[in-house]
Amino acid sequence: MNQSKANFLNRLRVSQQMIESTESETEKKSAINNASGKEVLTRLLENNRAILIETDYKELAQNINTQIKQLQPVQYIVSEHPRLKELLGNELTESNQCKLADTWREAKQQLFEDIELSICFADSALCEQGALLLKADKNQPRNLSLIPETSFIVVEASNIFPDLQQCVQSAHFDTRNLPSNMVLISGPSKTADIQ
Amino acid sequence: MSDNFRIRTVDALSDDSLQNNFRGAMDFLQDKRHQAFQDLEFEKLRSEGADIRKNVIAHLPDLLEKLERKCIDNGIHVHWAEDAQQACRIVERIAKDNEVKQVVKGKSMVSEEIELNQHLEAQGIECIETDMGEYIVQLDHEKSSHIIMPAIHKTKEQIAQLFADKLNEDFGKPPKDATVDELIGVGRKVLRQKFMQADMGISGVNFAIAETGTLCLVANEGNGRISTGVPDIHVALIGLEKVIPSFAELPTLLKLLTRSATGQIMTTYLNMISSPRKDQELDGPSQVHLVIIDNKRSAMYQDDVLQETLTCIRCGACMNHYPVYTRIGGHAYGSTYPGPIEQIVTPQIEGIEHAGDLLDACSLNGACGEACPVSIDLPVVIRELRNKQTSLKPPHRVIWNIWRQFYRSTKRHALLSKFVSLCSRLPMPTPKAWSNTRTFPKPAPESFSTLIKKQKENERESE
Ligand code: SF4
Repeated sequence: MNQSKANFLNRLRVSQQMIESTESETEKKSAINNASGKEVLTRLLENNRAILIETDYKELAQNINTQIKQLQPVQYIVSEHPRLKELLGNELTESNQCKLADTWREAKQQLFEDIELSICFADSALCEQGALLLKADKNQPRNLSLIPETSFIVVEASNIFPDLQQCVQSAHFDTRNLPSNMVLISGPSKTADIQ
Repeated sequence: MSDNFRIRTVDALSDDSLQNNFRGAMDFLQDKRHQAFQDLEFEKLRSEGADIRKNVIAHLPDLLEKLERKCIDNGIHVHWAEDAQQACRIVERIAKDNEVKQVVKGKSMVSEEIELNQHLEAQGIECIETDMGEYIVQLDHEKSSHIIMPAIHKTKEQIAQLFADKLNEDFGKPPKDATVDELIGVGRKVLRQKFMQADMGISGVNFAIAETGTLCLVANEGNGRISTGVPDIHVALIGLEKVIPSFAELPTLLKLLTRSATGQIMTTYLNMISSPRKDQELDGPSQVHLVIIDNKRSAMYQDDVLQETLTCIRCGACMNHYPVYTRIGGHAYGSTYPGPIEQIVTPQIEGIEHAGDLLDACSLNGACGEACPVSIDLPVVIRELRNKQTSLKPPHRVIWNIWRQFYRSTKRHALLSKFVSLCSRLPMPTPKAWSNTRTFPKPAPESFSTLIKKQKENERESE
């Protein structure tokens, strides 16, 4: 297999010398400033059929409880993200809240078959993309925001960035220690395949 | 592969429902793309994108090695495949080593290019397409007709019929007049069950970041994320040109890709995978494999005109703006990448001697080149390939030379046109297929050069 690697790198290298590189440093400035940012974020998310709820810290848990009462999921799950725990305390409805099993085999079954709603934490929001950045780790499995039909994603207003460019350059984004999986989400899953 | 292109084109042109589906969908996509770029300076962004991609090409081997090093550091297995065969065998071996029985596959053009499904199925490994459009196409044993919307040639009634014919009773048969949402609901139910059972997921990659060893995938349906995040093994396939230096380049390319492809500011998901499941993590694949595929791309790299092909980000914009494609649809092409990009990629991958009529299905009107978000000069590349193709066919050269003899001298040309107009007055059989929908043009009573001559004489007389 290493022979293959050597072969094809060689083929590329033979002709590489002939290509001149066009190093250009275009100035990259975001068209979005902070004031209009939230507006853009809201508009884009809503265009993508996401539902936005603004709330202050005090009423966060209560707000989520109201939603859960309305939607009446058979079971729902809350990510163990430390910041999210801090924000929510012990105030969420307990009756239909559940925990994931310890092995993925069982947890997978729960997610696909029983759990209808999940609550996750997004590290940041990007105005220009109209998207939320979620990182996977041992507290917040990647499939939590994916498999259940409905996801509540909590993001703090202080973590809103004008665009992906600036988020990538910020301390939020430590390129030397990236999580196994990150995802930008701009709305619920959709298909344009049947018209 | 492309040899029957002409026949399929005729079929496609006589299929009214196909044409209607296509025109509607293409107009829709063209409009959406146009709107999506309104908030940005397209030209500026596009030249940024082109610069980024050209720089990648300039540093390609180094970037690939860096990508490999970073991926290995992160715990991702890296494989190098020189051609389609080898790539298929690599995936097959990963599957067999891990006793994989059921594979789910996200949308990936390169997997179709190497015909991975067929290969795995021949080995007794079931490989399910999970993109709704691809799944529909797979159910009907077809090839996809559009790289972004594979089932665009089907109406919802046709899909309802297909589901009713092919799917297991348990999923509930959709009624004939099922709505789009109902159909998608049925499709989802089937696919979710496959996801639960699958032990391996296969995906493509849109951008692979060399600096961090991160694989980036864009998707609108959750299935892409499920294929990479639910099964225990994830195999990512990547054409060697998909590497980019760092996260800094991602935003620009992403903006261009999503806007050009589907006219969206942003796709529903951007999935960024940097390693297998980490210690103490509950989910995510325990093995991630990256297969870097050459399959003639290094040969394109060696030609300074054709090399441009490698900067393509597979957005499909050239197709949606391409007059021929919007009329005959993707199936006429009969291979993986339909439209202008197919015209330049397929002959290079499958060999120019198999290109047949494919390269001629283009009026060089330039619409595709103008739409391309990374400024690939598609018409120039197509012309270059035509040159190559023609130089392989001696009769072409002879005919060309004769043509030149007549068109170089006014006298000879006048003689020729007289001869032709005389001939066309004779009763002659007209080609049936052609004259079915058209009337044969009648030559003007007098040729252009005679008219000019007469006019000059008149002028002289009146002086
Ligand atoms: S050639 Fe340009 S427009 Fe066509 S798919 Fe590639 S990047 Fe898109």
